Amino acid sequence: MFLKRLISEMRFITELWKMNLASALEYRANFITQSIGMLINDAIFFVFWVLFFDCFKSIKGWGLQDMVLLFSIITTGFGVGMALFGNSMKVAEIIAQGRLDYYLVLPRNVLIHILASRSMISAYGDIFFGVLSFFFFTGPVTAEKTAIWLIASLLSGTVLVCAASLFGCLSFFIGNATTLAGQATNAMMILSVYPDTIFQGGVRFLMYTLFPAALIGALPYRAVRSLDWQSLVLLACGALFFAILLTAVFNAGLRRYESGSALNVNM
Amino acid sequence: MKGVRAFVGKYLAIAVINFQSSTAYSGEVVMRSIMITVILYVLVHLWKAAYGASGSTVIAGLTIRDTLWYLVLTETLILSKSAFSTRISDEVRDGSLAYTILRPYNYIVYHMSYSLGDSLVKLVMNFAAGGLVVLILEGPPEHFTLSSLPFLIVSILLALVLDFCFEGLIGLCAFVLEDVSSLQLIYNKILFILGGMLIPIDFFPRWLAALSKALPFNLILYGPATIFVKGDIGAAAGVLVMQSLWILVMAGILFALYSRTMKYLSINGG
Amino acid sequence: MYAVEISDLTKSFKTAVREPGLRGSLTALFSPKYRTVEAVRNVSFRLGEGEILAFIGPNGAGKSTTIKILTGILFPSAGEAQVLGMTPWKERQKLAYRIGSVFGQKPQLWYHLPPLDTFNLFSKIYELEDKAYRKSLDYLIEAFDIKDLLSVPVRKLSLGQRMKCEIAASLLHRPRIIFLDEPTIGLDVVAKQQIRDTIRHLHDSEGITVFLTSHDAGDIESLCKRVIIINHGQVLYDDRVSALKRRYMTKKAISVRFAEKIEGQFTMDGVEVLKASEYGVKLQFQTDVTPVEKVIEQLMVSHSVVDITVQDPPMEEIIRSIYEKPPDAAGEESSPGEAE
Repeated sequence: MFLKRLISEMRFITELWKMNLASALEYRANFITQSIGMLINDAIFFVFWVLFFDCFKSIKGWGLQDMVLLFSIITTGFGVGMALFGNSMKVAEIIAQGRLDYYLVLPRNVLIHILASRSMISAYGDIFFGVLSFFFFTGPVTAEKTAIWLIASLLSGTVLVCAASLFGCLSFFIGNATTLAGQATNAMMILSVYPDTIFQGGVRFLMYTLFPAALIGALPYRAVRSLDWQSLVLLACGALFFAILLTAVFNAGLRRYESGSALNVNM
Repeated sequence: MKGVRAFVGKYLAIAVINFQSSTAYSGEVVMRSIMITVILYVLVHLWKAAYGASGSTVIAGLTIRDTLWYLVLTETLILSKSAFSTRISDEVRDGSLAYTILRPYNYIVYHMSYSLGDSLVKLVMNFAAGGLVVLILEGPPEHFTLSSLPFLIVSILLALVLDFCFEGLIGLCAFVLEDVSSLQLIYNKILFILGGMLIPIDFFPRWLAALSKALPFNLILYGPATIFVKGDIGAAAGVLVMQSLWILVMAGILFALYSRTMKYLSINGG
Repeated sequence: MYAVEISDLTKSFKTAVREPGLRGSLTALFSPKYRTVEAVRNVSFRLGEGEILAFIGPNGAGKSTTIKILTGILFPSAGEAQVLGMTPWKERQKLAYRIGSVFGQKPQLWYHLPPLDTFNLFSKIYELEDKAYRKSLDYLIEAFDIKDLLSVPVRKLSLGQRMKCEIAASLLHRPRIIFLDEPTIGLDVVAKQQIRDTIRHLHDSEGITVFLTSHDAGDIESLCKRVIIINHGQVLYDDRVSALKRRYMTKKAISVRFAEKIEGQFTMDGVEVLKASEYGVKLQFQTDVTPVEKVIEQLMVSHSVVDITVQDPPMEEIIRSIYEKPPDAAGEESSPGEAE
């Protein structure tokens, strides 16, 4: 029964994604400029690391190729996640503006429907960059490495989508949390793209748990770098945890919304 | 006595009303300052590790505190600068340009003063937030001298004006391209590297450093940040001179293109 | 089974209360006070299958809250409700398959794509089988006459065309009841008529139950047989539209044109002069004080009348006078309507 429901929802997500793509291709020029723009954006960061490691050969066990690998995982994961679930970063806004009602009167899983109703166009630029940099700038590529990289990237994207949506759910509880959720997500992304070994103590612990910057960056990186399937399993557990947490928090928030006591929500 | 009380009371009331109406807005501004806090927190740890790995306390002529306070300033500037080009392109797109253009002389100057005012508020908040992080984690700027303060302030203002000229030029492209966001993005990325935001230009390989110093972009970020961090009055004066020269050039181009565009608009009726 | 059955529905919200001034801002921060607003108070009514109901009230009357409860978006503080035999907030997804909704202000069609694409998406949302979907689609295309609109991007359609497609989209899955919230808002006269005709046609041929909210009296008059007026969270009126007009028709207006010019000021006992010109006047009077025949008689006797028109008060006025009644004067007004 649950499986049947799951398959039905997955088919639905595919439909939504196809429609999003069609909608984006309506403006082909825009699609291209946005993707290229993101490509340039990512490339600049790449240039930064080239210059940085030109001065400092390695820091805390990280060299240039390591940084590129890290970045390729994050951009690929981010790209796929935001291409499929483009509303992850808009959840706070959607709740605060009372746009939930549209989804509530339709017979589909509300959370998934919301998340998949939009596709971030520039994300395709990220995917392109991520794939390209993995195959050309991270050293020798083997089948095993590619497989781990792919799974790790997808899991990283999953954590990102769940965490960003979680921050967005704050709107259920504290009113319009659009800016706060946006800042939290940005902060998480910033932390994820730097070597985690430069941090210590409390922050490092947070990055691996409730503020999962390390689950988006460092852990998947380690799995690929050392071809470590165990790390991959750990990462999968982390992704599962966040998916479950998101579902629970969203449903709790939805109950609040339905009781009418969600503050400052534009009813 | 009564007169004084009334006088004070009036201004107090105005201040209170401004506070109330801006509490909503300032909440937003404070939250956006979170961004620079996180960025600098990360950068402190990154550069601490870098300096630690290299084993020396001075690299490319900068100590770690120099580098970090340099980054505080460049990040502050980049986060506080205006998005003037986007505003122009929005106005072109929704047609409101027809109204705002009616006073040709004032259009650019008006927008510039508006941007400056807006940027100054952000500058203060961002610098305070970012500076606090570095202050707590590393310490105060090492080589800043009070005598370079006036140079610093002027160079920051000139940097904003110079940036504004570039934004204005990009904005004018909206008449041809309609959507200039990709141009603006490229400009921003140029500033990241050639402006010396992500890494002080002092760390660049020689050829890149020479290229950056030849182009005007470094005068928007690297220039003021260097004045702040190095306390060298002579160099500071040099920066101001270069900034002024480039402003004359870019502003000249901007106004020339602007009046061309105005003529074209009035002929073709927009 | 009734389409909609509500009894003693009540819904209250807590809203934060803030005092003006600086002190107010600070107090609100540290010790927030709340005020309870009763949006819906002991509302009860029943809607039979196939009825077209006008559910009207001024802004803030409790309309949206009631509709949200009926569609399962909100759950009530007290009372019961059943829509198509299901409790909306408990079986929301199950109910969703059987109801349709169109909110005039919140579009469902994807803006950059042709309506057909959204229709296809809806067929997936409602898990319609291909054959059933095709059949439904063909029927609606014909009924709404939207064949030429199907492949045009929604952003290029006029408001009226868009609205037709919106309503069509909400009917693809053959719901038994449809909630229309301001469907004709912003439309021109021609478009409004098209929408009304289509809804009526659909109702007549399919027997669908229509739950309509509108500020447009024309919608109400041309579509609905029954009207419920709600204000301050309570039902003020629940009866047929015809009864509404009869009951509140105590004012009439008469426009007259005379053969000769009017000398001086026009006066007549028992009437109020609304407008006066050289050759005519418009008069208003209360029929229970001054019967229509008396006014006409007086006019014909004292002047040579060229043209005379008797007018009923516009629907807006009738409704407004009901809106403006204070909450607890509702007792004598509401009378449970009969299912048609």
